[in-house]
Amino acid sequence: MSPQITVFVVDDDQAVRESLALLVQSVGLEAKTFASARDFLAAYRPDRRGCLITDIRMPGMSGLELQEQLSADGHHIPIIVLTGFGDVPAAVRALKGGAVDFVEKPFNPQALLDLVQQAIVRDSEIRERAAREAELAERMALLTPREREVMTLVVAGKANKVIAIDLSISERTVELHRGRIMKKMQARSLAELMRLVLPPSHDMA
Amino acid sequence: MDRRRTSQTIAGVAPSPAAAQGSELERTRELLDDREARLSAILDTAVDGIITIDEHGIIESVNAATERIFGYTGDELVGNNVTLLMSSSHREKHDEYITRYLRTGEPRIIGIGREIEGQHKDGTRFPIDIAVSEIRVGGSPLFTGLVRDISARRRAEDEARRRNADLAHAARLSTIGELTSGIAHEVNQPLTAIVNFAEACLRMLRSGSTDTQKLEGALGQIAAQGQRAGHIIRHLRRLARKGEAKRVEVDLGHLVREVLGLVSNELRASGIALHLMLDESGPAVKCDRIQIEQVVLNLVRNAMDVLEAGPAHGRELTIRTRADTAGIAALTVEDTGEGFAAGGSERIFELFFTTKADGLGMGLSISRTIIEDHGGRLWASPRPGGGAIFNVTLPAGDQETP
Repeated sequence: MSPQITVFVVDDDQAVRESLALLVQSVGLEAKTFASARDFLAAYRPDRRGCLITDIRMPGMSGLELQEQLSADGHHIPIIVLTGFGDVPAAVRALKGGAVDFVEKPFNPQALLDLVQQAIVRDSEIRERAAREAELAERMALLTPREREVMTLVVAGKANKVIAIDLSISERTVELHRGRIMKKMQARSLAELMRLVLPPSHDMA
Repeated sequence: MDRRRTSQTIAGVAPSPAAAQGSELERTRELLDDREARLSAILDTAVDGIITIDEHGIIESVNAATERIFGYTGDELVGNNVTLLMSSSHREKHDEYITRYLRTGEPRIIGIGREIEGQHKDGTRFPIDIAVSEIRVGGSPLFTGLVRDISARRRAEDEARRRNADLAHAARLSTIGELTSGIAHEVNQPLTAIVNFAEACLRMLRSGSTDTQKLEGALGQIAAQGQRAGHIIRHLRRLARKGEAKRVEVDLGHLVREVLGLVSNELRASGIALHLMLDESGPAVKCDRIQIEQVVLNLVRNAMDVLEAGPAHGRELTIRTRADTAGIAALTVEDTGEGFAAGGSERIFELFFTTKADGLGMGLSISRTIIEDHGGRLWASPRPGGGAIFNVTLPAGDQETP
């Protein structure tokens, strides 16, 4: 059973809110609507998977302010903004602030649904990466300082003999460290260890 | 050259053959001639036309200006009825005026400066201002009329009135410019909703959904949102329309509610508490609906601006309408904003006076002009307890506005 995905809708206009909710539901997603940015912030829990559609021009807290607030609070929920006719500066600001994209009202509903799809995928990716990073941190916390030293040299591609000389320890000791590192990091090969520890290079999907 | 024509000369003294009276008569005649020449000169250098008529309206004398104004020579005028110089709409009345005056002593034109329509020899009509006085010389009454051609003045007045209308229109447009972006945003909302609901319905139908309640709800919303959009656009078109609007009977309370409908979202969002005290039985005023709406919108907008610029609590806007017994309709718009600087309650009506960074400073000046055109008054007073009250009075429905 896949985890619940929710599309959050924030818009001060009731008709727009309700129509977006129905649209989202018509493709089998759950929608939750809010009449203001503050109402949304009060109810939002970061463990809820999904994305956010918000109008920009709203009385009280605007869509852009909402974006800033979420960012400041450390939340990464993907945002799609709805702009008024010709409101380019606002759209640009939203994009620079990390929005998935913007649509200008009145918009093609299909285009919005495509963006919702993109946003949901992005949300999954963000969560997976966060999970991975958390796990990595956990594992690395198990290493001793010496083991961390050895691991750094191992993932740099140095041979055990070289590591031994660098650290002024015996080759045998290096091998022992290496074994413990592989176990604690739960890596089954050097390649896997490197994948875990090193920052991803650009050509890796 | 003596161009003044009379049916009687003033000095009708024939020289006497008696030598003893000779030189005295000679001198008297010289004096009289001199007098006559002076009076002649005064009359002929006068800028305004001076016409003398008898009790039957027959012209006795005219000065040079009269000839110039109407295009006739003195000979052509003397002996004719003065109605020759009036356009047909006044001709019939004139003899009546004289008779009536002689009978009752009650002047219609006599003594009162009045605008009527004169007619040139070539047939053209033009506006003239006339003032008439009665002379009693001998037994029978004579009337002297002072005639001024006011075509130039009338043209200037019309020009000024047109400029004023243009200005009011420009102010309306620029206000509308601000209003338009707000209203365009408003129209986008129902359009967006319509498109979304329609798409949702299509998808539901394609996926074989049998949720007729949801489908019905969505379609009902589509219809409602379409109406909403139409209403907004209709309102915008009415505001933008310029021109000779007819004055119609308008229910002031109803008008206030319509204007509030335009700004209700913003009122709510800005936390402004609205108090309406509208007299339910009207009052009705005869007015140019669009112009009065413009004025009310201006006052409400100003109140909202001042409230939004101040603290977030205690924002109140109160609108009252009331019909006085004296046939006056009264409207007040009051706010709990920061009020006026000392003695500032009149300054704000000056053209181009504004306290806003991007304000035009035309709203109140234009509004006052509109209200005064309707025979009413617009003024501001400080609100006891803080803030401002804007007062509008207008003649109520059955009164004819000037």
